[in-house]
Amino acid sequence: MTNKHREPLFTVFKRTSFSKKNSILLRVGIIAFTFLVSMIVCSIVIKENMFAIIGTFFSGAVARPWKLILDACILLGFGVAIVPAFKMKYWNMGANGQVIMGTLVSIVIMFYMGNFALRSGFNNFLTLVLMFISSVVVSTIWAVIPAIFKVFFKTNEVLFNLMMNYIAAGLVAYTNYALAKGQKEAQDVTLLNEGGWLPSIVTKNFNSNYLVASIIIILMTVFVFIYMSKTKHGYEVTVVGDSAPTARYVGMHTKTIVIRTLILNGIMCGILGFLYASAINHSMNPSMCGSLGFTAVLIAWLSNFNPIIMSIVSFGLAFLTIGTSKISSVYRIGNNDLANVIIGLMFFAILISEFFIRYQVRINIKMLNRKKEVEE
Amino acid sequence: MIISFIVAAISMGVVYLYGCIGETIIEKGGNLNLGIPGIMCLGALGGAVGVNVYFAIFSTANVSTLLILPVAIFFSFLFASLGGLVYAVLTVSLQANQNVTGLALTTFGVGMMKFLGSNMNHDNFTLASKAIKKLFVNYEVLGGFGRLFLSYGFLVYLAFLLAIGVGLFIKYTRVGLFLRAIGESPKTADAQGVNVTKYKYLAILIGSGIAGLGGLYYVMDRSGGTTFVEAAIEAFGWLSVALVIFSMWKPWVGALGSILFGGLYVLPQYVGISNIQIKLFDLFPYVVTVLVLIITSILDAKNSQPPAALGVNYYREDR
Repeated sequence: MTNKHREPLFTVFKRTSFSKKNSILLRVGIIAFTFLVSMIVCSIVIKENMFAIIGTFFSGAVARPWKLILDACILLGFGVAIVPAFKMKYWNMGANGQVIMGTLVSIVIMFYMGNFALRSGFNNFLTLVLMFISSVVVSTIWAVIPAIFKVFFKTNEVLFNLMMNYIAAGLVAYTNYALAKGQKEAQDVTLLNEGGWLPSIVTKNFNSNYLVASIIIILMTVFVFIYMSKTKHGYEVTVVGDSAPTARYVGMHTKTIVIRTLILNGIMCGILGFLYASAINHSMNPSMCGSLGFTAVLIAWLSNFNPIIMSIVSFGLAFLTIGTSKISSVYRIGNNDLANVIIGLMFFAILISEFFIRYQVRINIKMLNRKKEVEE
Repeated sequence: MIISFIVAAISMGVVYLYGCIGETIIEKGGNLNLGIPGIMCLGALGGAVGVNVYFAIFSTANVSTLLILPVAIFFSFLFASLGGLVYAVLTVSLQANQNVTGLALTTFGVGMMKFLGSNMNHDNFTLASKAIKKLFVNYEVLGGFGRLFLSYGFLVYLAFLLAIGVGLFIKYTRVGLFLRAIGESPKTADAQGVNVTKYKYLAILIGSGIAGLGGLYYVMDRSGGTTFVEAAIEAFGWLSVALVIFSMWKPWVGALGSILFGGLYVLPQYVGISNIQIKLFDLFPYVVTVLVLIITSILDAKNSQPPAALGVNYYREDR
């Protein structure tokens, strides 16, 4: 075969436009497709009728609506907390660490001030305020340290934040041990009373605590939406993210903007950490956030940093996780691992669809014909 | 006492070392693969599949090291490379964001190992582990020397050979030079006539395969085949990524660093400290890595920096 003018069989070039309707259709289609494929694979593995499995999935997902909403909100909370930083192309992989540092100080305060807080409603309020402030401050410090090194010394923030996650997790493990020392054989510290719990709005049951947490996170989402789209700060963040040199040329102080945005990021993570301690878990352990910080990165990125889309995606993921864990428990196949497999597959599928939205592939017909000729 | 500590440190460090070597190759080609924890899990899964394949063919009586080891390594490498292939297709061909793809791969890989692993036949793992661990016999007669240098399974020696080999390869060969060029500036390499896509694919596939052996080693050698699903491979994977930074992208340094990291991991068992202090010890590798990261970036020394194009996809038409 001596064709000197070899041209590539495929040429890939950037699309100039792709209609919004089509891109949504493509994504929904690919998610539905992946879901279906996973269910078929599941039915083969479990040796059970696929429709029965899908039935289990849906009934499991809606069986505890409050849990579903809370899970979705927590996921969303992690997502919106890191959105401003990400919009700036600052890869904050440390949301996990930032949140659990907030929880850490909150729990320590609850541990020592629990009795004080129980004495009166006002005391409890004071405790909550103290928890809130310290949680926010510590989370902010945790978020800003890598940012400072990033802007002054160009230290890689991805790797720095990953390490900060593990340092935070280690500190939680240490504190748990240290606090639980007096308590017999306990691995995690158990709080002695309900001092420092968020007050219940409706009735004194667990769900209302979930409700408060969910509402606070939704308010946070609204705030981020307005901050990013309507304020000067949000605009500056976008400019720095699109092109840092441009931002410098028009006279923006990029270093200040980066650190300011990370302070905001830290504050929101601090709020989440506070909620974990005061409303959601009332306890802590190094792996309490699982890989939520990473999942949030995926959500924020794939929703194109739009808080509204992020809400939908978070809800979908929470639905998927709870539904799949129901399948796992009904058919006794591991814990939440099946959910992770399906979520991973979905992200792969969406990443593939992303390519077809941004790029166009053209098959070089000339080359195809020539190949045939050569073969003939 | 000292000797058994060093032996434990080395045998633990090898888990990190495999991940570190693999990730170094990948990062030298300009790809930051945060999927390493997932890939190591896939490697562990592959190793388990390999062991089961071996026992499906041969009997459980008299397990042959010469046969089971290659089978396990082959499957481990294969599974891990398949994970790497997904990453390579997405980031190199389909221009997907590397961090996002890596995290998705970690989610997938960890889930896959635990999901399939928990539904797998574990019966013969300890048996397989004994065979995989066995290399030299009667090394005890040589005393301390024997225990220090001859008491490990084949995979330990392989790791250190790979560290030296890959270090030499990256630094002194032409292909290694091209690989580094791609990591620093893919545009320049492309202009030189280097096939950037091919290099990146090969680097990711081979690097992932090597990293996967870390998972196999942990399950089948270090932990004796007893812990599989519970294995904390994900955390070890992140430590491997940390070790790459710690080693400043030099596998030789990585080999020494792995012994240090491994030593820190096993130290509490040897110095008789309280459980609380253990928790503080656990922080040490991460703190040291952060310090290395900070110091190298402040010093801005040319030969200890990450590859310049690390984490950035190469799209030829972006000029």
